[in-house]
Amino acid sequence: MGLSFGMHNYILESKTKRFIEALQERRIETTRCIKCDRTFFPPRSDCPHCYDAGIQWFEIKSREGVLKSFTTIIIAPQEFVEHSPYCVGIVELPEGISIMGWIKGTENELHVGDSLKVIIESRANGPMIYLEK
Amino acid sequence: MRVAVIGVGQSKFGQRDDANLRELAFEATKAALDDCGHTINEIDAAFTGIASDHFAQQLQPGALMSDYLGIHPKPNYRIEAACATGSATLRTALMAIKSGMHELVLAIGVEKMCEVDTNTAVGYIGRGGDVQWESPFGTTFPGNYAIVAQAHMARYKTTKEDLAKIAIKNHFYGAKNPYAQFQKEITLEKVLNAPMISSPLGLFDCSPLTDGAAAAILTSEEKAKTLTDTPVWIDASSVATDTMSLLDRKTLTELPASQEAAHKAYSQAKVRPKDIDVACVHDCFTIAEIVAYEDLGFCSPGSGKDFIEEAYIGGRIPVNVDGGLKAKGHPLGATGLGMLKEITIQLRGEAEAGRQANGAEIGLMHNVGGTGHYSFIHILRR
Repeated sequence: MGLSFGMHNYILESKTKRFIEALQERRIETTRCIKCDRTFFPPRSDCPHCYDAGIQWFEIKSREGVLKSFTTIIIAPQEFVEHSPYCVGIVELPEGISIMGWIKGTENELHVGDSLKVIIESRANGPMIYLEK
Repeated sequence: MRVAVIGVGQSKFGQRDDANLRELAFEATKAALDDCGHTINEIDAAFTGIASDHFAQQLQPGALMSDYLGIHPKPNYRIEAACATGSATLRTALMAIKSGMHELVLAIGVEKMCEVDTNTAVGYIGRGGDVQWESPFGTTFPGNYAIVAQAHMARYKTTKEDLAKIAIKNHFYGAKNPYAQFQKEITLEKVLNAPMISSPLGLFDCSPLTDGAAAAILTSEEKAKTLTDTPVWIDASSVATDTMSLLDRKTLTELPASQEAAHKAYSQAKVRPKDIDVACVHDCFTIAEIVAYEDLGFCSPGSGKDFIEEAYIGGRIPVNVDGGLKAKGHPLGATGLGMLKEITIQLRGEAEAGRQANGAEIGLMHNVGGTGHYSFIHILRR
């Protein structure tokens, strides 16, 4: 049983396992297409534009970004009922990619456009991404 | 060559403890055949829209329909495009007729969502997001549209009261529609005090789980003229798609697939937004109808909340005067064909008292799959 990221993984196999391994070491790594230079986040092992060019991995260094949106989920899927309520956010990093995570704390005092830190926590079964004001 | 709608029908939408998937499909199919006075034997192919095998716990549900509706041994094609399955089914049938490979066809959409318990159903629907990259955070379908709502409210000062006005309007008209799941008007207090599902969306911002079916009989222009005096013509059919993950969307306050599909549809039908006399738009959540007004060009970006009062009969463009997804219900596979039935009867002047858009000549259907993963637009003319 490999590492999983987030709170529960429904898809257990991928050519992008390196993402989770790097995240467990608190590095954000993702891919870009060798031919057209498009960046993918979350990482992809295949470029849907070039189709056969190949991809390369690189590191995203930023740990702070702008909050694009968020929501506090109350009615949750079965695997998440025990965690309800939880707040999911999307933050845009200076590299032009958007990352999803759980907001630390509640949505009180949270506004679209706020600056949030990206915090990666390493756990026994795999890493988790948090966003904090 | 134009394609005509010559018959439409639907089952009552709601929590149908009295009927299962195949029986609901039969109700709608019989109603559509009776509407045009034809029999299943005359149909040369069927197109079946069912969004999920999981809810009704039946794999290859298209095959079940081939049997129960009396289609076999003729062709039947099962179509899926999430919540836009009904319109995808309509468009596929239209393409088959235009290709000349089939001439008189049945398009049937059906979903049985209430057989499993609510938590299970919510779990299934949540798999409509990116299961590899978003589901690890416990995202849900209401959560996705809640993210859209939060961004829209921040950018354009849309409020929870504005969202509530959509639910109020759609219940106002659902109350006049005997086929609707909910036939009672609701108040602002009721909407604002409802339990929260995913902030800022509460129970009354969300369309329900629904059992139901809707069907249509379609044919070529040539054959339609021999079969009926009241064909409704499909003047435009368009579709566009978008990225799987919300993380890949440039903006969260609009659905680019709807904008792209609308642009193509208006061009095909040679009309502008203001020429539309009546519309059904995809209000899976209240915010989705406000965003639809903007994406469809009924009003400018951000001013959807000010258009709501124009979406009543007597206003600039009556929208969802059948109750919408919110009050009429949203059986995933049936919804798009339910919209087709509604626009068809509006153009024929056959809608129930209090919900007929007067003198309607041009109607529009806007049917979205997922969080704007698909958007299908059809424009009909009488």
